[in-house]
This record gives sequence, C-alpha cells and structure tokens, in this order.
Amino acid sequence: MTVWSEAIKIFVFGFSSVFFVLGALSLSLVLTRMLTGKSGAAPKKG
Amino acid sequence: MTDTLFSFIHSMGFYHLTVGNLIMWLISFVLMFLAIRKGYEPLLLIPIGFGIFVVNLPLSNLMADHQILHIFYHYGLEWELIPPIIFLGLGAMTDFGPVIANPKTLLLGAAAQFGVYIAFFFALGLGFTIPEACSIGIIGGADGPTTIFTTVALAPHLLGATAVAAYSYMALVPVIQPPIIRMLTTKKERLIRMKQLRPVSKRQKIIFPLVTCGLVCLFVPASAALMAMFMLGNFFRESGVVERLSGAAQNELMNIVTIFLGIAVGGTMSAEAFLNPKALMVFAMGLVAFSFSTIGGVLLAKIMNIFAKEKINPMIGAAGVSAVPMAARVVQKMGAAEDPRNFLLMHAMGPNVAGVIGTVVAAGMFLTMAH
Repeated sequence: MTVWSEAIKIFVFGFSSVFFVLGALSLSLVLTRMLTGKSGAAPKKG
Repeated sequence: MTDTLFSFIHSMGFYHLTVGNLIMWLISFVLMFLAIRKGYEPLLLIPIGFGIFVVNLPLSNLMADHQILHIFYHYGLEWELIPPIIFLGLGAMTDFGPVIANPKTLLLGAAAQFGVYIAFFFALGLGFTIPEACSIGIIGGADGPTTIFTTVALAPHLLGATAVAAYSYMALVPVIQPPIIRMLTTKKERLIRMKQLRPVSKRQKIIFPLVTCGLVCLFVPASAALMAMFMLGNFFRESGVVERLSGAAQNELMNIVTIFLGIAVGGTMSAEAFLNPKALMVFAMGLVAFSFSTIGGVLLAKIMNIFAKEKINPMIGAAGVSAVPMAARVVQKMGAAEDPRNFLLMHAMGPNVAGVIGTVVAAGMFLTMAH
C-alpha cells in the first residue's frame, strides 16, 4: 500500500510537472516573441 | 605432463564457455546484424553489440576492476559524465525553430511522456521496486542518454537491459508507431494540412536556450546536468560565433563518447547479469512505454483540435516520443502516404524536440522523488 501511494505521488507530481514546465516554457516563448516585437514575423512580400 | 596439459586447457576461455555466454553472443550478433544490414541505430548498436560479445568471452574479465570496459563504465557512466556530453552534442545538432514557431507543440512533447508513467505502474505491478520502475518507465521517453542517466542513478543493475531496450525500440519506431497512429486517427484527421511555420528570428533562437535552461533547472534542479549541457550545445549553435566548438560538440566529441557509451553499456551485459526474467520484463515494459507515449501524444493533439481554431494534424503528437528525428520522419511518411503534397516533417519536429525536454523533466522528477 505504501509503495502504491508513493507511486501515485510520483505520477501526480511527475506528470503534472512535465506539463507545468513545458507549459511555462511555451508561455515564455509567446512572451519572448511579444517582447522582441515579433521580429521573426514573415517579411512582407513585394 | 598431464597436469600441465590440464592446467593449460583450464586456462583457456573455451573450457569455461557456458550456454549463457553463447546466448549472449547470439544477442550481440543479432544487434550487430540489425545495425549493419538494416541500418538500425548503427552508431550505438555496433559498439553495444561488440561490448556484449567481448564481455561474454570467458576469463577476459574486461569488466573487472581497473580493466578497460570497467574504466569506461566507472568514469563514463557511474560518474554520469557521458550522457551530459552526448546531450551537449545533441543540443548543437538541434534546431528549435519549429518549437519556437509553434509553442503549443511543447504540450504534445509533454503528453508523449504518458507512456513513461504507464510503464512505471506496470513495472511496479510486476514486482519491481520504485527506483527500478522509474528506470524502466523512462525508456518510454525514447531518449537513450536520459534512460542511462536515470538508470545509473536509480537501478544500475538494470543498465544493460534498459539501455538496449531504449535503443532497440528507438530503432523500431517506424514499426511500432504507424499501427497505433492509424488506430487512433481517422483518414480525415490524417489528411489535415497545417499552415506553414513562421520564420524564427536569430534573436529568438539565441534567447531560447537561455530561457529554457533557466526555467527547467529552476523548476527541476535534478535535471540540470542534462538540460544545461543540452542548452549549452544549442547556444553554441545559435550564437553563430563559436562554430569550432559547435562542430566539435556535434562531431569529434560526440563520436568519441558514443564509442565509450556503447562499449560500456555492452560491457554490463554479461550472461549472469542479463539472462534473467527481470531483463525480459524490462524489454516488455519498454514496448508498453513506447506504445502509450505514442497514444498520449496523439490523444492530446486530438483534444487540442476540439478547442483550436487552426486544426493540427494529430499524427504530429506521436512525434512527441523523442526519438529524434525518427519519430518525426514516421509522421512525415504517413502524412505523405495519405496526401503526397502534405508536408508534416517540420511540424512534427516541434513535438519531437519538445519530447526531449519533456523526458529530461520526467527523469529529473524521478531522480528527485525516488532517489
């Protein structure tokens, strides 16, 4: 029982951390793009 | 005279050959055959296969203290030196442009860690301890160096089995993934075309490794060794001013440590250590991990499509298992089979490289909570 409760703790904290960290990274990318003035936007044609 | 003859015969390896040695030779020949004939992960399977062969030559004692393979193993793996150096090279080879252009693909890389936890629970159910189950689960990240890094820290006795399972299944991604992707997606979904990715500026590419390294290491310090080296390699690449360092990390350094890594991993696979039911179970769990990681990525992509204005092709979720670039190529090939003018490779590279970061975070959490 202790092993399984420990395992569930590892799963909940582990998997949610993966989402949390990559989600935060995703958000930081959006912010970086805003701060850098969308300098990566496609150049205008013509 | 007879005594001398007997002791001479006794001193030869032939006299001490066991059935276990022969089985391990067979396994090593199969790995080398797959590498040479089929081209499956040859850079790793050749040295691993050869390592298995030589460590199972009786009386050679190559893994005994102060012997050559043990030295590679001790300083390279036990000291956790080689996996971070491989990550340095991988970072220098990786273009994060597709992730930066489409940040939501990072979430697909996270979802594709699902198999890591499913295999973790399966392994516990089969009687493995928590540290062993973590080492087995991480195979699902499809990332050899991270698997080795985690196993050495948590369950070093399983190193041979987890490393070979990780690299073998990575090589088998083109066989494992397509049926699962087909089962989970409709033809209409597989035909979805995605908008061309926006170009990414040099400035964004330079900032990315710094932000990622800072964020990940602050949230999960246990992953710092891998993440810092991964992002340093990428920083070399994107800075554009240290081409020599970037080239050395990608080529000379990477090649050298790959040799040491392969032969040291092969060296752990003696018949006594490898031929037991646990190793077979590790292999079975590896397949479970890969399959559920694929399922996790595809399902999240489908869920995202419910809310998203611009639909994504759910097949790219499967590329979240980080076998780079094999998993992305599988998606490209499947997309092209449905519609030859559908180019999914760059879209799939986003979740593919995000999966590497996701696996490092998952490994860091395992190391934090199970050590």
